[in-house]
Amino acid sequence: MRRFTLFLLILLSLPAAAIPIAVIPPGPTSATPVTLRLNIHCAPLTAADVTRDGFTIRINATTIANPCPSPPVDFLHDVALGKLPTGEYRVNVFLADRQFTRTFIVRNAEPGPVEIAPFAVPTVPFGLQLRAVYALGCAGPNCSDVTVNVGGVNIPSSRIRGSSDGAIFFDAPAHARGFADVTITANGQTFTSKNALYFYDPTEEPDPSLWMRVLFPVLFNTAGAHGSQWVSEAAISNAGRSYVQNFNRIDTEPCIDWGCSQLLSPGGFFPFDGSGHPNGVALLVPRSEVDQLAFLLRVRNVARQAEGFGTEIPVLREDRMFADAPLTLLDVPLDPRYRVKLRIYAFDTEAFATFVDVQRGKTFSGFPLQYHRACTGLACAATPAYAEVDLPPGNEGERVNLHISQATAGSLTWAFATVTNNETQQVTIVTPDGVGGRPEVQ
Amino acid sequence: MRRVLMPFLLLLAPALFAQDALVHVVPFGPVANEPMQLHLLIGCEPRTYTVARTGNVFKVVLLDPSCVAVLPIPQLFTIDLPGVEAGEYRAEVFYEPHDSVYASTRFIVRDVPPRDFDMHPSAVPAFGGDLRVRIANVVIPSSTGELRVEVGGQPATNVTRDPNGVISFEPSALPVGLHRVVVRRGTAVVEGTHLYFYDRPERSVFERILFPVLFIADGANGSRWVSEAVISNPRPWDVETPNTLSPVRPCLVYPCGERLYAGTIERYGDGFPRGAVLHVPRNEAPQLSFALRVRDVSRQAEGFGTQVPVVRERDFTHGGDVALLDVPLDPRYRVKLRMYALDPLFGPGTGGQIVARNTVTKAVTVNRHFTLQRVGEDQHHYAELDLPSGGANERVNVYIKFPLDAVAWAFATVTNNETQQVTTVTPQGSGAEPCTTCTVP
Repeated sequence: MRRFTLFLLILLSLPAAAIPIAVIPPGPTSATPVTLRLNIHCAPLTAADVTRDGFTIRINATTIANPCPSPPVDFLHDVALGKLPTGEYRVNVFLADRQFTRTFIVRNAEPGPVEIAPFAVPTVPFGLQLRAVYALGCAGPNCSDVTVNVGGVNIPSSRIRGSSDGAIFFDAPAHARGFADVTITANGQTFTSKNALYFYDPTEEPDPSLWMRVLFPVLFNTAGAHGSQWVSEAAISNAGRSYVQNFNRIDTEPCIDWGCSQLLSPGGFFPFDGSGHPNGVALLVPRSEVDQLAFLLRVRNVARQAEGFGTEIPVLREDRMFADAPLTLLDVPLDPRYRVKLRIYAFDTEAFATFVDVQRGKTFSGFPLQYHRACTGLACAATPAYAEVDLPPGNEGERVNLHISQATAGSLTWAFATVTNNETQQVTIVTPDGVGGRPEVQ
Repeated sequence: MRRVLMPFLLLLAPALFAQDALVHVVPFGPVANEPMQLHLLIGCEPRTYTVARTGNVFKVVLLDPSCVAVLPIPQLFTIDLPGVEAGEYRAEVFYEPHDSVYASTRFIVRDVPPRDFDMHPSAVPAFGGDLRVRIANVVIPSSTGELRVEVGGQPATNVTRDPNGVISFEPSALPVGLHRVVVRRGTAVVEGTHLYFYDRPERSVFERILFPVLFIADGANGSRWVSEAVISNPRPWDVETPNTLSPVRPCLVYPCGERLYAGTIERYGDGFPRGAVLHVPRNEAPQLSFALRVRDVSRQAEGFGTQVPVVRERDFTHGGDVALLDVPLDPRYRVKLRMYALDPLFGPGTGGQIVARNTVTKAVTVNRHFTLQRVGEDQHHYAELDLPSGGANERVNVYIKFPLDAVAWAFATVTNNETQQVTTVTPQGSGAEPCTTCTVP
């Protein structure tokens, strides 16, 4: 049975991961050693010869000559590159007659004496102001003695303003895609920060080394069972002193086409009602600014105002999702008084399905669960593969553990269960913790 | 001022503060070759420092004989230490020109778990016992001769090897500390990693796992609250902890832990209304799963309860604050804030501040101070506060400021006065309070 289950799982997980080259850490800087994790289908690597020419990295990989094992599996192979200078890199992996390519950006860990934020700027900014600190010289609103040059573009002095904390704000100029230096002259002194900004093209696919996915698992406004009316209440807080421009927006503001990014002003608190993403959606936040943001998400049954304040749902940064490990939800009730829905999310996978093992004491039963992913174009970068199932009710007082398989090697997975009381519509969530998986036989 | 302050700290610190209240190593559980830092409480900011290593002792000398930069209140000063091999270390900090040790700390640097010597558990009680240690993936370059395992030079007992090559053994009693494991067969020798023998929950070996509430108690309006905590060990090795979440076995002398048997699930539920910290060996902690719920069982029909996070060390903020967003002050609810801090707390720093700002007007509606109190030996520090009710539908963002460099976490429970339904509000992201005086032009 177990062998059959494993075979079924692997079969359902085909084809291989969508991103065969992962960068570790996902958002490297010039101070962090970089490792490339190659996800090779069918056969382990026997050699990986690395050559670097400027910002192009070539890896000639060879595998054992054996045919693909049955069932086929993925093999991970790490290639250490060490610390890399700031820049935009292209990796080409050659493996037999196949070639894999990806790009990634290495940020400058020490751009210079002037700290500029945010780091990621659209090529045609709209309303985004950059903040520079340590460029003392205009402690008040009048900054006529300060000049700013961004990647060769002089900022008009009328667009340079001082903040009460000694920083200066200036309009982000339009600029070609790529890195840009920033030079500020104040009080007769000139400061230059090298590669201080990166201008991205919002019409191109977002580079994972620049953007972190922050998963909001449910954003909906919908009627439920027994007259319930469910709403999601979410918020984003920017506690920092600089603007943050997200790649996309997930609130209910009208957005004509993709490219509607979200500009978060310093110190801003942005509550919004969730809608339109019942299967979850990721907010793409610049990695350089993600630590200054905070999030919240609740679901409430507003048909019964008196019942409570709702149920908090975790908002998941991708570094809190499960990589290369199964998940376990402990102690999930199957008592007929409740209805239980299991929701599973996966990024960086093209797996068709996952497998859920239901543990009742020392017995196990399982079932495959199909992933769905409805998206087009750039929106796919924010759309997880999603699967859900309503668990059939069991016996009174019965509780089970749910073990959920990783989508594919190199993917990011998360899951949670909602336990809803059939009478009161109260919702309890069960989330995973720790490296899970069904108990191993000793 | 400077001449008063520095001698004051030098003289009183050892007497007033616990050893690590002046200096400690970060990360708390360093592994081999990982760069480290010392976090130091200092009243006179040095211009620079030197670090010298002799054997397993780091000598740090702070250089600023004239104490130019006198700080009005003690501040955090960080000292970079290089990565080192696994072992037991001590760091001593001197402040030139004083020749006595200003502060010192002891810490363990663990092995980076290698794939070819996968040993669990990584920590065992010093008194010995029957806890079996399991080694997988070890390749012994000999197939003849008696299989032997030595720990710290002492032969282990009940050594077995299963058909998959997994070796199991029971280590002898050994003194507290790191002891290397060696596998022998015939003339073949495999030098493995270290096994830590403990009598107390040493911070660099054990991760602190916080269960924020574990209690059974009567509440308002006839409610009856119970906690349901679950620990799952799905792995094929046993794990033993130096303390327990079981309230019926009070710990009088360490260690008095719990064995989490392979492939089993343990349940706990009472005895720690201010929360409890379970000390779990760092190499095994990621392999365990935890869950915690609170339920009002007087109203069986109401629901399955509310999940409360089990908080791992990585979920705590270190040196930062905690923000709880969108907390209601509506009189229909009662809101309780619970604040937690792990050791070390610098000096006598146990005070904190709570500021609640209206989410719309940004006006401060609550501004309170709190004092953290230690819950028990080798446990955390705790404080709680009931937020006063505000206007109908009023909501606030709560910013909780902890003592200097504290390892902190907090959450709020929002309880409906009528139904007793509980909603939690937990920190999710930055804990900083936005600058309210900064103008954005």
